[in-house]
Amino acid sequence: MANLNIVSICGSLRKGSYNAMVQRLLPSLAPEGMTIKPAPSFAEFPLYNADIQNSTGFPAAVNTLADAIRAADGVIFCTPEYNFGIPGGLKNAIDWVSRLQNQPFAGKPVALQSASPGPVGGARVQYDLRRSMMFLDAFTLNKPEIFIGSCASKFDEKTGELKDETTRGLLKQQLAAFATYIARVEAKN
Amino acid sequence: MANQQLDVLVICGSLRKGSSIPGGLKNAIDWVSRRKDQPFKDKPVALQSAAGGILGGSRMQYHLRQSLTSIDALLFGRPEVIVTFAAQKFDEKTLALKDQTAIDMIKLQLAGFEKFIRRVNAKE
Repeated sequence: MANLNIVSICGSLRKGSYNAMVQRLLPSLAPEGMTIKPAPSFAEFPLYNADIQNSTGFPAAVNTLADAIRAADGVIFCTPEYNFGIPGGLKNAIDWVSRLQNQPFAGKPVALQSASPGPVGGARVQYDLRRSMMFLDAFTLNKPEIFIGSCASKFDEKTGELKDETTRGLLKQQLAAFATYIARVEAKN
Repeated sequence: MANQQLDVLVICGSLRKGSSIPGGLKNAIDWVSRRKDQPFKDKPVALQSAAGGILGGSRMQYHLRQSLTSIDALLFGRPEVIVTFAAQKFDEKTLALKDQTAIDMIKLQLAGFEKFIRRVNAKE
């Protein structure tokens, strides 16, 4: 299989984020030939406003993130769920980059992961993200889905180490499936 | 303005982006929802959206409905206000809404919303 360069985007800005722990773990679980790196941050994006876009243009940080997405073979979102939906900051980032010409998610393979302290593990945020990705013509991987429920008990809060073998196995399975999926959708371009 | 002081909240001007809630608006909801005495709790809410296309932001409204459900808002049902092909319905210079059907629908919704508020407040 060809080398695959993947970028990961964490939906939380919190330092101790469980989803950031998942994100940091991914490179060690990737199949051979897959490299996973964190995407440039969206933390400094202003709130999306078409007036900014039409006057001073796209902020540099927006172009930086968009370029990283365009250059990647695929994107993995690791995100918490806020109020049954996508965290506002993450949605704002998607809103910004989606307004660029050569919209970066078009035709881009995408995989979704979410971790949350509750039992459901972020199912709703994934379905919302899936809908926005559909609008942007991304190719979103179906299965296996990664919902890491009760995440506080599965990670060591200090070291960020994943203590749950089932979750580790599922993450590995998804990354392998993502590699197969990328090969499949790229072959159809 | 603190939501606690309002009887109602109308969220409008919500242009859908990517079939969903604009990130800036969602961020605002995320922030205020973290307050103790969470301001949307038991707050009557009506939704309106206007958009350039044929769906008028309807998908965004259902998404907003989902988020507001999670924070225990009391969501008004019908009539829905979904202004499709908005560019043709507003005067671009004065920003006035010119479309009588849309105006009537908004009036109907506001009248229905008033009854809804009285009803849900009466049950407290």
